[in-house]
Amino acid sequence: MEFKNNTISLEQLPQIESVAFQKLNKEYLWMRITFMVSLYLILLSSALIYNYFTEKFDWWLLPALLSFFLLWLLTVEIVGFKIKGYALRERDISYKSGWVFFSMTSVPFNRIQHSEVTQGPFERMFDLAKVKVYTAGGSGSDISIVGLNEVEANQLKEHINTLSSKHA
Amino acid sequence: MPDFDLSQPQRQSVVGVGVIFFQKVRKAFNLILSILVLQFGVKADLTSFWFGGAIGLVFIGLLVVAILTYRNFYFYALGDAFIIEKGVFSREKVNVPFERIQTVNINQNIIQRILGVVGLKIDTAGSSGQELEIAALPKSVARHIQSFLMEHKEAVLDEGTENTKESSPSKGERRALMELNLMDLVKIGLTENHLKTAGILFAIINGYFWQFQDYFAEYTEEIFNDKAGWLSYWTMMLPLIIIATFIGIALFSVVQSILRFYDLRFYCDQEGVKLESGLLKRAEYQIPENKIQLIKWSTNPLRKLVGYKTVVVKQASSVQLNDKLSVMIPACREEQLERILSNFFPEKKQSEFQDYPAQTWFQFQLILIFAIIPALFFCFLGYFESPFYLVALIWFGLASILSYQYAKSMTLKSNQEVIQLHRGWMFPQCIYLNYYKLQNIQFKQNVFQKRRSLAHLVLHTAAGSHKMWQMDEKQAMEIYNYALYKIESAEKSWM
Repeated sequence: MEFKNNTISLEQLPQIESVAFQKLNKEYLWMRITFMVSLYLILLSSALIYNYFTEKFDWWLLPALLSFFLLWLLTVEIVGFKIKGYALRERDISYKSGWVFFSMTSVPFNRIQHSEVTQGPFERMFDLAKVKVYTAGGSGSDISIVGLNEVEANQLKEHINTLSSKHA
Repeated sequence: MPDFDLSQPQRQSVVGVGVIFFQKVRKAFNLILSILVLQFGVKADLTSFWFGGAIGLVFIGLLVVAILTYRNFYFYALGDAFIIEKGVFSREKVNVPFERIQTVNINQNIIQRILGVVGLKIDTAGSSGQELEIAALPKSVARHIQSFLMEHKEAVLDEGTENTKESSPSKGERRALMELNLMDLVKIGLTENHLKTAGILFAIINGYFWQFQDYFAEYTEEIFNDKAGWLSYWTMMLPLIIIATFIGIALFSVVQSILRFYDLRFYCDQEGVKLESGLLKRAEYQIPENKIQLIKWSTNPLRKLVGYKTVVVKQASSVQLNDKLSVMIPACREEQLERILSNFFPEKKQSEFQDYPAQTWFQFQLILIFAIIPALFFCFLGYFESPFYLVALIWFGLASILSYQYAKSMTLKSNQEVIQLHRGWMFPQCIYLNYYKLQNIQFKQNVFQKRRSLAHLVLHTAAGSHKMWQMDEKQAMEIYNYALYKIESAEKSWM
């Protein structure tokens, strides 16, 4: 067999920038908004009741603060949702997220230890699930792909498992 | 040791009773001491008949437990696993499959030294607390078991895959790459980071003080009551105490370094690294070549002065920063470091290194955070107490120099196979690793960085994560893509 060891120029390498990332399900955004708004309503009502009895602050102060906070979180969530996404290539899986703090991680299949599907109570209500991918690189390096519907998540996990045992 | 048969259940050396007994005594001593101090304070009458009797009973009890522990302790190999049976009151059988064994280390503490035996420790891939220990074995038997376990582990791992394992290099005596003499040890002790030791010491003393403050109260009250005398006394004594503390710490460091690194021998070849050291307690660490994840050197201004660097060889560990799993050489000369590096990174010389420095913005950022903002705060204080203006000025000067130099020193270098990440000016450190040892790679960018086309890059390895700050965005992406290519096309396994 002829042995080749050509120099590789960086431009020839596959570029992660040019990969189209798969967007998350819209339900995920609705789930987050529902979660935040319900938390907001709980906090708002308890703040109003608290202030009604103690009269420590002006009546509008706590609601205004809470509303401002909610507005900011919603903005971050909605803008951030457009950024979140995952990409499957032949040999690795990538996940990106974050508007204020953007982060993108790629995990090659030959470095995956195992993967799992998990579902929280809110996610169950919206028929969503997330796939967690673990490597030996410590907790900071594991990725968890959110906003998949349950069937998709299981398919993705199976796919990752097949490829990671193939490339191991 | 040909007549040693691991297929039959074996007991350890008879003197193991002694070793186990002293282990138990040490544990019991710690326990009893803390109970005594908590119960009776320092006023307990240690000479009373009852106290002596109780201690005697405890000793006899421990001796019985030690003998039973010894009698019930068996080890042998069965099928694909190493088995240990133990337990005094309830029998326990621990089954370790060969493939799960990570490392087998031989240790010797002072009791084992006196009795002429060694201890054998088996680390498994499981969680902590899973390590197994055989307390007392003749050295030749321990060596025999060690090589037996490592060979079987390899054999199990190779099964199913290819059987083209090269004949292992000559099993003759390995020659030490470096040894440290007494003078080196003194230098190591003197050039420790004394500020850090002082900090730790202070924390410990402080902790003990608060824990037992009731007992100190009687004495301190007398001193505190005489306020004026107390104050002048301390202003005179304080500089002396600080000097004495540092001399004490330096001496302590020297003693510690002699105890820990006495007769240190470091071996380094195709098989991996091995390190033996210690005066009273002889410890041995080894890491097979394929388990090595990265090599790191670091130094401090004092150590730089005597021309030494500290080198750490790290292996994969589930617990981050677990120093037990890495091999540390406290003092290494430049040419020795070069030999270690070229042994494990022959690729280092094969192609040119390219620099990927942190961008100039990083210098400004650090100066802003560590020099300008604190200096402004001191100026604000200076408005009330004018000496603070001087503090602000000095702080600004020192902190800007340190921040600037730190930011400038932050560099990632890469050739076709090896990444090198350097950072730090007063306390420089540098890591080396092969691309294929990476687990995955992360690109980070906040909104402010995006405007300036900057990004952080995090290299995740099985021996910890390392971050390169404020790179040029394009260069970070270049390394990102190249690292993925190298990991995915790697033929060698990362461990």
